[in-house]
This record gives sequence, C-alpha cells and structure tokens, in this order.
Amino acid sequence: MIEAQQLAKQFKKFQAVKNVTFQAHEGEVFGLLGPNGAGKTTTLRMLSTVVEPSDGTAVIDGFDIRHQKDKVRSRLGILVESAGLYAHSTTREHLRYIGNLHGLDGAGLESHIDYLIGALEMRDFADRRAKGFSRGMVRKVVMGMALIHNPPNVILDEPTQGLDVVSTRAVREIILKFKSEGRCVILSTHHMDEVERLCDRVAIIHRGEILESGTPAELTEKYQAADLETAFVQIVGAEALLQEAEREATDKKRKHKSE
Amino acid sequence: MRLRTVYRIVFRKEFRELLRDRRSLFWLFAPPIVLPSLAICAGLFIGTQVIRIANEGFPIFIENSDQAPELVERLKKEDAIKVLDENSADEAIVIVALPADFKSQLDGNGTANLEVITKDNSIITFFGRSAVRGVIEDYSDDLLDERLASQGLDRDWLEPIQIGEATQRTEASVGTSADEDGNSIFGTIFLPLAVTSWLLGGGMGLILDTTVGEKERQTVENLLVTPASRVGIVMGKMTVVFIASMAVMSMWLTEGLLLSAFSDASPQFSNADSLTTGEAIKILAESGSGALGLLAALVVMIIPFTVMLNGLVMAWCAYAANYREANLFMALVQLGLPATVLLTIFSMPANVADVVYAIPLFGTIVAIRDLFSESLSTGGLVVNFISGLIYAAGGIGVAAWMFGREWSLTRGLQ
Repeated sequence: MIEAQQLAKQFKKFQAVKNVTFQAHEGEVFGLLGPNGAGKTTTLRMLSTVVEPSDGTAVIDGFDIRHQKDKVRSRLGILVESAGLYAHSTTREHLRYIGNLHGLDGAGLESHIDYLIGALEMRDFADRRAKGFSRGMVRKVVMGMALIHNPPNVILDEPTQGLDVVSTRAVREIILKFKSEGRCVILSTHHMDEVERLCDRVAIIHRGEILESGTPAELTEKYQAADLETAFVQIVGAEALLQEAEREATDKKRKHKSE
Repeated sequence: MRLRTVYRIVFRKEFRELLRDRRSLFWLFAPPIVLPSLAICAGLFIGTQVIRIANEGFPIFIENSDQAPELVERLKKEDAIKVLDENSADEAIVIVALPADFKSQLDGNGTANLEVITKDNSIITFFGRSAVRGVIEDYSDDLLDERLASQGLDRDWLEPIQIGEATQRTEASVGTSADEDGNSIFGTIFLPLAVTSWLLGGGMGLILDTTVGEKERQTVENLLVTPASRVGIVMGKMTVVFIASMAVMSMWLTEGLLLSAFSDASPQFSNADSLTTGEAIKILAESGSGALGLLAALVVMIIPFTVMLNGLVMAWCAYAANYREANLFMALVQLGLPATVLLTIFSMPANVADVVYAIPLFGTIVAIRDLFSESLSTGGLVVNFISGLIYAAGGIGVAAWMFGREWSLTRGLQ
C-alpha cells in the first residue's frame, strides 16, 4: 500500500508539488494523470526515494520514505519514463546486476530472471548486449529490472510510451497481472483509454496539486462528460492544457537550440 | 546492504563493461602501445638506412679539391664518407664548395671560407652533412693548434676561465640520480608533467562514462532506487578507473625504465663483440636495477595521488548534468594541470621543508621533482605518502558524498 501524506517539493523558487495526498491499495491500479509538467514524475520520484520531499511524507507498506529508505526501496519497483541501459551488458546481466544490488543472488535470483525473461517476452534478446535495442526492448528490460526483487508495490511512469501496438498490449496485460497478483500499482500515463481500461481509481494532478480523484466512472459522471478524456479537459481546463503544450514546445525548442 | 558486497557487484559490472568497450580500451591502451612502437619502428627504419649508407659512405663531392689537398685526404680517409669524382658528382648528397682562392686564404693566416651544400633536407643528408662537418671541424682545430704553436701558445690561452657545474645532493635522499643533466631534466620537469597528465588521461574517459554517463544513458535512477550503499557504488566505479589509470601509467613507466636501461647499457652493448641473449638481458637488468628504487618511490607517491585526482574528477562528473558540462571541466583540468605543474616545479625552491610535501596536489608534484634531483629525503617521502593517503580518502569521500546528493544526481534528469 502506498500512502502519500501532504507531499510537497520545492526546487529553489519553483513549487513543483503541493500537498499531494492519496492512497493506493493492494490489488489496485491507481492512475496519476496530468499534463506535462504537472508534477507527476516529481511525485513518483519522491515516492521512490530518489528525490527528498520538501514537506510531507509517504508511507509504503508501513515504511516512511524519509526515514526508512532501504526498506521502502526493497518493497518498491519503479519503471522510470526515460530509463536506459548499459550498452555492453546483456538483458540477463542487467537483471542480475539490479537483483544483486537488491541483495539477491544464487539459484533463486537466476530462476526469477528466467521467469521475468519469459513473462516479459524477452527470450529472443535475453543474451544479447543492449547496444542497438529498440525502445520497446529497452522498456521491457527496464520493467524487468523494476520487478527483479518481486516488489509488492510498482510505480510505472508512462510504461507504454513509444511502444508498438504488440508491446503496448503486452505491457497492459502485465499491469493487469500485477493487479491480480495483489500488487499495488501506480500508473502515470497520458493515454486516457489506457486509464479507463486499467485504473480502478485516478487522481488528476495539475501544477503540483491534486484537483480531483475518484474512479473513472465517478469523474465522468461528476463532470457529465462522455468519457474520461473530456472530464480531464474540463478539470484541468482547456486553456491551461494549451498553455502547457505551448510551454512544452518552447522548452523543447530551447533545449534543441542549446544542444 | 553491506558496503563490501555493493563494492564487489559494482566493480565486477563496471570492469566487465570496460573489457567489452573496445573504443575505451583502444583510447586507454593505444597511446602507450602504439606511440612507442611507432617511435621504435621509425628509429629502426631510419637507423638501418643511416647505418647502411654510412657503411657504404655518404656520397659527397668536393669542388676545387686541389685547393685543400690535406682536407680532401682526411675526408677520403673517413669511413662514413665516400668522396665522388667529377663524373658521378650528381649522386652526391653533400657538396663541399671550396672557393678558388681557399689555399691562399689559409696561407694568409686569415679565415678561409668554404660552403657545405646539401642536396635536400632528408635525415640521411642531415647525417651526411654532420659527418662532413665533423671532419672539417677537426681539420680546423688542428690548423688552430698549429697556428697557436707557431706563436708559442696553446689552447688554454684561448680559454682563460672554464666553468664546471654540479648539483648539491641531500645525504639521505631517496632513489638514485641520473648521471647526465639531460636525464635529470627529464625527471624533474617532464615526469611530474607527464605523470599528472597520464593519470588523468588514462582514467578521464572512464570517469565520464561511469558517472555522468549514467545520467546521459538514463541509468542512474535504476541504481538510486536500489538499497545499495552510495559509497560502495562510488568505490566500485573508482576501483575500475584506478586500475585502468595504473595500468596505463605502469606501461609508460615500464617503457621509460626499459629506455633508461637501454640507454645506460648501450656503451656495454657497443663494446661487446658478440652477446648471447642471456648476457644482453643481464646487462639490461644491471642497468635497470638502479632505476628500480626510483620507480618504487614514484609508485608509492602515485597511488594515493591517482585516487585523490580520480575522486575529485569523479565528484565533479557526478555533479555535471551532461557530458558537455563534464567535458568543459575536463578541458579546464587538462589545460590548467600542466600550467600548475610547471608553476609548482619552477616556483618552489629546492630543498623545501618536509611539510611542503603534505600540501595537496602540489606536494606530490614537488616530491616527484625532488625525487629525480635527489633532494627528496625519506622523511619527505613518508610525509607525502601519509598525507596522500589522507587526501585519497578525502577524494573518495567527496565523490561518494556527491554521488549521494539528490541535488547533484537529479541535475540533468529528464
């Protein structure tokens, strides 16, 4: 179970996340929705102990993210949105490396690696070095790394971003499998159809604050919208979304120029 | 999770990555292998060419040879020179042009002018010209002696004062001194410069790859979400960098030692008529043994120095947001370090107090300088080694601290 309590993060003068509070339970897929720059990734980074909260805290299976980091890390698997791989290591070596760093080794680890390679359909490239892997292959390996220690809580940041249809379907099936296994899943995504299909409950975050939360059906009904996407636009505001899109385009242009 | 376990896991993974990364391996080990090999090949090629032509004699032609019969005779007697007749003058690589009044100039007790004309600027011609000049200068010296003798004077009359040079040695100094000034300059100026450059040069690319490379590849978060100790991660990475730096450094030092041994043994090689392989190795070993003490002292200083430098560079690279930022710093280091080394070598006076060897960075540079000028005492070496160990631990500490900071690790994360 993941419980965020008044989580906040300030980067110098910029308040990225403000008083974010939610609960995600075992056997539940909890969706975190929001436009780009809403504070989703920062929230997920705080939950995974990569970033220290400026205020508030979160408790994962009873362990505080501020004071019991190692306990939290061993009970949490995170799929980072843009995670990459080591060019000269194979899929199996990646899984073994992260498994070792979680304190696992021996036959138990090897059999779990074999299981993940099978479950994530990585047999074809299990012993190939990562140099030249497609985006889909990278995502699968990174997901394997997130699950190598068999965590009861899983955070997935844009898990299907850049994947082809077949890989997307495979990832969605894996998410449902996590749910059926009784894991607590937090899913951050832009795809509303994915949210409607997979999430039991959602929280809509914008400019670092949770604006609304509930089941997709509750939100659709409350805003008398045809679907979750329409409800999402109403909640966040069409103008705000447009501004965010413009800001993102400007940022990309600036970044491209500086490179 | 235990620090030693994390260290072992990270070290094994980073070492494996290094061994598989052909590009990094090439840039690490190609310079110490390829550069000396190229130099040896070039030296052998030029040497054999020069020896072959010297055995046959460098072909020269003398214009107006009747003007200096004695000089012509000396040139003909020289084994390395073959004086051509007028029919084959075109084959000459050097022409000695005697003016038509050369004899009368000499007889008049004045300065007779002649010209040495070379066919081109090749290395063979260079050696041919040197051989010719040597004979002419010897002949000129003999003429000078004759002229002085005719006046009842000798050569000392021309040199009222002679200057001798020597360096004061510290009695309890470490290592052995090179006999020739050239070797001493090599040790006191060039070596500290080379050591610092090679140490960083060997490990720099690897440091970049293992630190800021984790950010560029977006692999750092996968590491951070494990319960692995940050110090263990840093030490595992740093050990690989250290091994690579020391391997490269050892290759350069071994080559330097061999060069020094060959240089010292060359008179014995040239005096011996024939040598078996065993005898040659024995001569080399005896010549090289003198430098071994020097090398041992150098290694004692270099090991903590390398760890400290690698630690500091690693700390920066862990902070840098991307390769561009890290490379900017590297460029500054690569430019600033030689300047610092040269400034230290020339600004620090000789026979400094032992405490100077404890100054971070500068202490080791001065110690290497003084090791080769035989003014480094055993106490100075000990001070440098102990302080070096403390700074090395500090370097690791700074790197580990930086690697554990959220504000440094999250710089550059998307």
